[in-house]
Amino acid sequence: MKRHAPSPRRVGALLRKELHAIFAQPLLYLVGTVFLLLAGYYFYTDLGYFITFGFGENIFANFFQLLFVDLRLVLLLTVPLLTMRLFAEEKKLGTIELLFTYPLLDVEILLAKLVACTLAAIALLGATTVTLWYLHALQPFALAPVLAGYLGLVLLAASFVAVGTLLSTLTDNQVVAAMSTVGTLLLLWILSWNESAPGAESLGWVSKLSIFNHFEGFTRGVIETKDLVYFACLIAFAGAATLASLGSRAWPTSRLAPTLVGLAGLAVALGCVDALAERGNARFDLSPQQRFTLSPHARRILDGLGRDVEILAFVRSGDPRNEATSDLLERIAEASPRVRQRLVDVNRNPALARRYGVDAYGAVVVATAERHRRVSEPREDLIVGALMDLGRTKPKVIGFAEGHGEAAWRDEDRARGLSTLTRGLRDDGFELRDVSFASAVADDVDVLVIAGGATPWSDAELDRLAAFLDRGGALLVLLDPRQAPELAAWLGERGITPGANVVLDPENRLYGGEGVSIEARAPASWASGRELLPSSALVTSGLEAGVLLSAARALELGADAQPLLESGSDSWATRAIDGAEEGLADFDEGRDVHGPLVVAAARELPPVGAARKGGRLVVIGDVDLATNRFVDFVANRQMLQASLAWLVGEEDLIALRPERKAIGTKQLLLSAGQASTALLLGVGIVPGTSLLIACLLYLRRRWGR
Amino acid sequence: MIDVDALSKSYGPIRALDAVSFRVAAGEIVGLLGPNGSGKTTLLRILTGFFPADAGTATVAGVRLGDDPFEVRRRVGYLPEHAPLYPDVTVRHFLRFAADVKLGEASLRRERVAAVLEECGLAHVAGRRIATLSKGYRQRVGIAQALIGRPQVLVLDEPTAGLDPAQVLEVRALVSALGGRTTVVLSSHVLADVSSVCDRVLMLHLGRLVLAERIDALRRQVRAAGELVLRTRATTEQRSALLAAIQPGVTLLATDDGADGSVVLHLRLAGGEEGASDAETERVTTALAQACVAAGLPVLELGPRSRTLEDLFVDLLARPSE
Repeated sequence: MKRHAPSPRRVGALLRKELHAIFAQPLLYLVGTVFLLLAGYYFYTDLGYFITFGFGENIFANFFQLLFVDLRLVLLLTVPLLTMRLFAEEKKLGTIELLFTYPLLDVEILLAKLVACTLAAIALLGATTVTLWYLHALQPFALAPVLAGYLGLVLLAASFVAVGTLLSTLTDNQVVAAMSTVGTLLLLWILSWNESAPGAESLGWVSKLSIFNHFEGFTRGVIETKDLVYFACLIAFAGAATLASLGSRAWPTSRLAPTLVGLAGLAVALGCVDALAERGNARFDLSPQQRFTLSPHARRILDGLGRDVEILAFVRSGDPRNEATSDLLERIAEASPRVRQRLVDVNRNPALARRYGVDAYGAVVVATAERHRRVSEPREDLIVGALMDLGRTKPKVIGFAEGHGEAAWRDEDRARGLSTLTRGLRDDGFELRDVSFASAVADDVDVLVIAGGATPWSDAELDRLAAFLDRGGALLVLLDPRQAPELAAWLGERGITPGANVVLDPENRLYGGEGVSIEARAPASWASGRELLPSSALVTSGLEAGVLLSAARALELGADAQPLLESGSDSWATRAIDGAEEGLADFDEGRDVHGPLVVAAARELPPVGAARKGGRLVVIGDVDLATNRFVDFVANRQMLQASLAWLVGEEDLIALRPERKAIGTKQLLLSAGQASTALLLGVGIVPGTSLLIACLLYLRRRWGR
Repeated sequence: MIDVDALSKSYGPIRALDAVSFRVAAGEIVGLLGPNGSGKTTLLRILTGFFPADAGTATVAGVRLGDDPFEVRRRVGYLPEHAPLYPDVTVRHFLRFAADVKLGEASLRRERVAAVLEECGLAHVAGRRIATLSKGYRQRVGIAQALIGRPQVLVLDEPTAGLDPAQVLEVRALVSALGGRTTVVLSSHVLADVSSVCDRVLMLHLGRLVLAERIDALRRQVRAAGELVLRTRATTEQRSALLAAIQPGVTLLATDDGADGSVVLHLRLAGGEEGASDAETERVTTALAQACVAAGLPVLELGPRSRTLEDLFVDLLARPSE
């Protein structure tokens, strides 16, 4: 039989017909309304989750990954409604007989349908980006990883279309076509749903078969060739099976068995291609802030290394995490000629492990000739903390004042405790201890932290505090409104007076947050003449985001004090603290003061008497920012870490640190109004537009031509 | 133009087509007759390349179907049964699609769309959605899409089914006008369609070809079927005497009693099924009249039995297949 090659003209004609059949009919827009409604609702709830539980940071792990996974489900439920009619309707109408008796190749007919339906799915996915553009306008985020996620969704949609088209050829009933498609896709999902159900041996190939395991990489912003090949193979197989199904009209019954054998052979061949692709995999990591790149902070520490360091990671051979560990160590070693690194198998080197006191896989030891430090995980921030510590001649000591009801550094309580912050400080090599003012502050305390407290300070205690500062000590004071008036007055004598008020900024408060939360930033006046600022400005000048405070008090500054954080220009400070906390907040011209208002400040005191250096002082008009609840919001932790670095005289180590351990650089916080707009867009305007188009098309069909 | 040789096709255990052979000359209009389930649609689907036969060969427009069904489809225009069309597109839109698929050159495509709109009387409904058209117009659209590729062979499956009498006449006129230029095969179970537009008739029954004859020959055959009817008043003895008088060459087929006491005699002339010659019919008729007059019997009715093509086909179908 003579073979004919597909012709672009005929495929073009078919494609025009299919596009008209999809885009000029109400069905797509009705399905689209449901699709976009679900997608918009997921968008909104994922956004809420992201901001409340994800602290609005790391938009990739906490928002996009969730959104992509949710869109996957929405695609699974709606794409079959688009594919069901592709062949089932032609069969029902009898028009399939026209197509089969026109000078057309089956492959041309199939290609046009697959492309047209995939384009429809792409159009639906495209409409879901409207809300993302809105987010991007509020807070720009890297687009490349989002595109990777959408590439994954498009491939997923194309695979769904291919499977749905195949099933649509098997029946002339559209409902049967749709339901069988949903069922098949669900099965391909459930395959790896419960990873413990299949045995250990079968799990490997079961998860290789699962569509969704291959989709996961894309949601993380990583494109891998093995996943691309998998989707190509899946689409090719479904396409071949569809052609066999279309061709079966020409079969004698005896052809069924050989065709099934042929398809099985094709499946095996594609499986081999897939397996080859797994071996020769190439990754394209589009995730922002390349997770595997050292932070500027780490580089600065490594650049300043004064002695040779060896880093040993204690691992178990065959552990899949070893690759990532070795990657990280290599990167660190590359950054400094003073660093050597190696992976040590705990089981083969028990003596070495014993020497460093290692008793768990994954521990990392950072060692100089004299000292070593052990960290529990191969994480950049932990290793860098160990390096910082080894770089010091003796560990720096941070004392936490107690006895006045201060927030405690060991306290795990979400609202009052500081344990989240202090765990990080210990990782950085600081030594932490309690300081009571029963006697003079110990000489080896470098920084004293006073975190709020309601009990009044006695004059004797304030004298001891003054003595500590006079000998060159450094002090970090966090004070909420109404707390410690004696201490506030004492601070006022040193140029920073915490006011008896609370700062409000309801227009810019946090979406999902309380009415008294504000976001403070480095003073706007710093935009020009940054080089003239004193060293304390380093504390906030490098922050990439604001600092979130809850019920903060404004500070009045003397001539020598340096503002670090200011509230927004729409904010104001009110003396009516009770009313403000209950949400009765209206600006009163006579009583209240307009923003921007200073909420954090620093002062470097001149040396007193025989002291070699002057004391350093940082005051923040809020305790909450350091508590477990708030410390990971926006740039709170960075600001506190930088404050402590400046206070201990290590301001040259202040630099951007890696944020937590995942991707995503910036934090996104929404005002309540912006959240409403997002909801309106996602659940109202976008699906509403689709519904409107469906109605117009229906009316045109009804009353028009 | 069409050369079919021993074509067979089965659907599982059902034998839909059983060693059918025939030829159709270029420009001929051929009617395919047969009751439902006789294999008409199966035969047409094979000829249009929808699916292949299990056995046998067919050459359509110079191309063997087994070699290149794609090329056959390019040369054949086909209106499937019930005229399946896309309801949600306009007539022009649909014809443009058909032209785009079947024809290469863009200017030719435009020209053909305009031409078939005119030829099939669709110009004034070109902008209407197909779903809003009457059945007659839809049938015309179906014929238009079959014609648009300038086919050498046009295959129409039941083109007049479900149409009102006026529409039937229109479709017949349309098809007749194609005669000579295009080879047409049309199927129908309405004999009048076939007898009014076709040059030749093929008849299928239970998958076998039971008749392949020119229409004018069939008409003659019906006329010359060799049967006479005589209505008279006669006793049994008088009838026997009458028949004896005109022997040889006549057999009595049947006797009916008329309502008014008359009797109807059905007679067959010798020469049987091929039909007696006109001269023989004339001779016997005259002899019968003379014999009646001679016997003093009244001649209430006398002449060749008025048979129709329908009678012929019913006879063909009733005949046990050998």
